[in-house]
Amino acid sequence: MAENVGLDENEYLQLLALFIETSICYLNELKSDIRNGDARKVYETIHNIRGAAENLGIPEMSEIAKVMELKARKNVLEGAEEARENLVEKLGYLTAVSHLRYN
Amino acid sequence: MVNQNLETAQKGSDNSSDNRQKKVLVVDNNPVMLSFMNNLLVSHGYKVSTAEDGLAVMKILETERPDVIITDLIMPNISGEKLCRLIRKMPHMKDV
Repeated sequence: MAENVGLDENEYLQLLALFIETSICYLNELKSDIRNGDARKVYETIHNIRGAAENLGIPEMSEIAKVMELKARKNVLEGAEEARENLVEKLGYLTAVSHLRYN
Repeated sequence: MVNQNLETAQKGSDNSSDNRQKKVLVVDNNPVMLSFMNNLLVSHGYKVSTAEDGLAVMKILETERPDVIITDLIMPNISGEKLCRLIRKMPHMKDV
């Protein structure tokens, strides 16, 4: 995965750790933004996750985020909470895998 | 796609007489993207500054004149598009 994005393995793992850390915050923010019906905030926050996941070569998350982003941009939050929970699950898996790689 | 464009740009600059290290300012509210772009650009020989928002950019531009600014468009407070319009109004930045 590191080679695919033009980084060496150590750089990639550091970025992955930062991605996991920031995504936890973003996904928490999304929970309240979705509950409050704030499509604009959902759009801005999910954009962050989508962009980083794409550049780090994590399609399992970027594809879900992309759909959320496109819908939120059109002020549509239907299915957003389910998608958010799906992202949380994917992030959990990614966290477990990255810990295995570190150790 | 970013990698291919950087390699093409580097080949172009290698052919020119100007060997000064190019300065790039990267703007993104996402720290992952800032780190990613910093690592990528530095590995290709660019000198990199980073900023997380429009206010930080204005502060940097008081003392620096980058050759290129790469900015995310979707950012809270000042969007990338609005930031570009603000930068274009600065006399010393109109050619960047």
